[in-house]
Amino acid sequence: MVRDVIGADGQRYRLTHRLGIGGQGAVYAVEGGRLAAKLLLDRSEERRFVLRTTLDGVRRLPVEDLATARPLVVLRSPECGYIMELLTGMAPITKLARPDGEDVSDWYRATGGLRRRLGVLAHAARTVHQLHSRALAWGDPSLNNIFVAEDPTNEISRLIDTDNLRWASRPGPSVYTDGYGAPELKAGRSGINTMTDAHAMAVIAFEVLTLCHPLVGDAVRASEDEVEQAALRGEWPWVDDPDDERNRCSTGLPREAILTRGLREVFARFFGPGLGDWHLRPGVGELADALAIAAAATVRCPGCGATYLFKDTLCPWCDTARPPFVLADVGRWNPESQALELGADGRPDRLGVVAVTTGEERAVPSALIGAGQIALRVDGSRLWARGPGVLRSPDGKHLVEMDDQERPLDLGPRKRPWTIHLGTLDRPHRVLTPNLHVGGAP
Amino acid sequence: MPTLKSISVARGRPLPVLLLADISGSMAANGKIDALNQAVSTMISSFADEDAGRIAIHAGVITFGQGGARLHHPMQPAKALRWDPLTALGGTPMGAAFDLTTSVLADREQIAGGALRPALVLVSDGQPTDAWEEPLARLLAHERGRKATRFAMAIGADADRAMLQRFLADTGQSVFGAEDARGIRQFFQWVTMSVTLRSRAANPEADDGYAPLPPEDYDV
Ligand SMILES: Nc1ncnc2c1ncn2[C@@H]1O[C@H](COP(=O)(O)OP(=O)(O)O)[C@@H](O)[C@H]1O
Ligand SMILES: [Zn+2]
Repeated sequence: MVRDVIGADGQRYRLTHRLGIGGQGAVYAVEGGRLAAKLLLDRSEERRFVLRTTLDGVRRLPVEDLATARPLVVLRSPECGYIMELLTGMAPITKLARPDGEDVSDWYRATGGLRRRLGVLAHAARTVHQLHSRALAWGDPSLNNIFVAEDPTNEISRLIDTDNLRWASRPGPSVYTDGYGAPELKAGRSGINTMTDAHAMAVIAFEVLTLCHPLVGDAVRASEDEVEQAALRGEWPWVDDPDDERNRCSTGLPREAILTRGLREVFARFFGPGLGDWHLRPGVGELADALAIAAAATVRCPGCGATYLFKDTLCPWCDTARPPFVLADVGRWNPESQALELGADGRPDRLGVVAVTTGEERAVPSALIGAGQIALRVDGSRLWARGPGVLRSPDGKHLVEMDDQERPLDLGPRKRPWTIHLGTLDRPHRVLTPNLHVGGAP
Repeated sequence: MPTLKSISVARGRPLPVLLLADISGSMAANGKIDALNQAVSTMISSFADEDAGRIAIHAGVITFGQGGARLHHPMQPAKALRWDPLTALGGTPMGAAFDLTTSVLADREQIAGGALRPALVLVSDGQPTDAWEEPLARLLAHERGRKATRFAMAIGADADRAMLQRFLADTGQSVFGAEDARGIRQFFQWVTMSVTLRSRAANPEADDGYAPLPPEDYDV
């Protein structure tokens, strides 16, 4: 079925085939392979007016640089819809949350495993956070509305369904996907806003990582749908509630195996106190940071190629011993003492770590060091570092300015390492302290 | 130390869709059975693709023709169903099909306790060749039968529209008439759309998601 539609720009767009049907309309590929068109089913004058005003507003928003497929051109009557960028080589993140095939463990790894899941979720959450920091709410975060690359090594994401974007303070029709709507949205106590977005993003992240819905445990699932509805309204404890076991989830991945303490704490605030009271809910930026920091704490198994948290001495997927790796601690520089800030235990305070195994380059997440881009690579007992930093010798006598060229740092078991500084020594800044771990526990 | 070598996952809440397909000899004429096979197989793969929400569409198929009513595909996740095409032969044992439907609805192995209200889809091109009124009454007296969303299609002029309308009873819906392969395809597109929308609805038990597909959106 080939059909032409006309944009408000006077252009003719030829629709070649349908890509999918959604709750509000259908999406078509436009001839040329670069654009897609969304046509709404409801073509009433009223709907068209609402769409036009929303899209006119959205198109003027400062969101060009965002990872979204945003509306480009509104369509002329009698159609009701818009033209957007076509996402190619991508598919909904559903593909990372709903196993197909027999062996879930194999499927989880083949679709990118733990590190990629953390990476794409961090990227998507970061994009939502960027919208929020421009006072925009996305509206309908769901597994269908986050696209990820079909290539399992790629960690980018794109948000679709941006026609629901709105200024965070202005209420509007509340379109949301069931299972992801925050309790206050489901109960009709609130419209779409940045905190309902945050709840939905946390559900998506928990589900993609653990393959378990945070509010639907064994007992809720086995009951009538009314019970599940109540759980989604926040009337049940969440699956990992520390004090209430009624909604335990026996399926999915064991949380202690794949979630860092930081992520477990963030989720506990989202689905514990933050479930019924959005004031107590973390923002989506905090979720993005926790995801990025967790991704940096993964190592790659030389046996099966999968990724896991560096604290495990054996690969939890295949039991191969953890390979030698470098752990770069991220600390804070104290310009007064000319040393690292110490924590309560008298040891350097650690904001996070970056784990690097031989043969791969790892970027230090901006959640840990801010704007600077530091990349680390390991080759035996030698660490290679590049980016805008300063290398400092253990005795403080030597300082070496870094740049895009890789610099070697020799590491050894009982050798005090050079440190990587993200600022000058007379000011507070972040510091990377790399340590080599030869097998064994770090 | 935790292990990730074997992982079990919970699937979504089942939304059961049970097809009652007429495979009497007359269905062999004019390519009706081929059109039915094609349309049902397309519908099942659409259901299988619909897995982003908290609900999983399940599908099962009862046939009625030669040898009586048979459970052609037991109720199972649409994702798992490998469609086995139907062949047309024999009479139209409608009553037997209704009774088999009631027993499938009652079977907790096929439709688990937490499942949503089922959808029943009845397709026929002829007059029943057995007693059907009491079996239908039994089906509609069963809680799951009474609450089910129901769809019915009359294929061709010989179909028993009055019987099909009795099956729809008080659902407020009417029998969909199909003359040819195109009509059969449209009917299943409409069923697919309705079931899919219901599976995405905020309250799928209250809202039956009934939404006619605008003619221009048919893939014809
Ligand atoms: N920009 C795009 N590029 C490629 N496919 C898209 C794009 N936008 C939407 N789709 C496809 O169309 C389907 C329906 O779009 P969606 O915007 O989610 O509709 P609705 O909001 O009505 O649910 C999506 O699931 C997706 O498969
Ligand atoms: Zn391994």
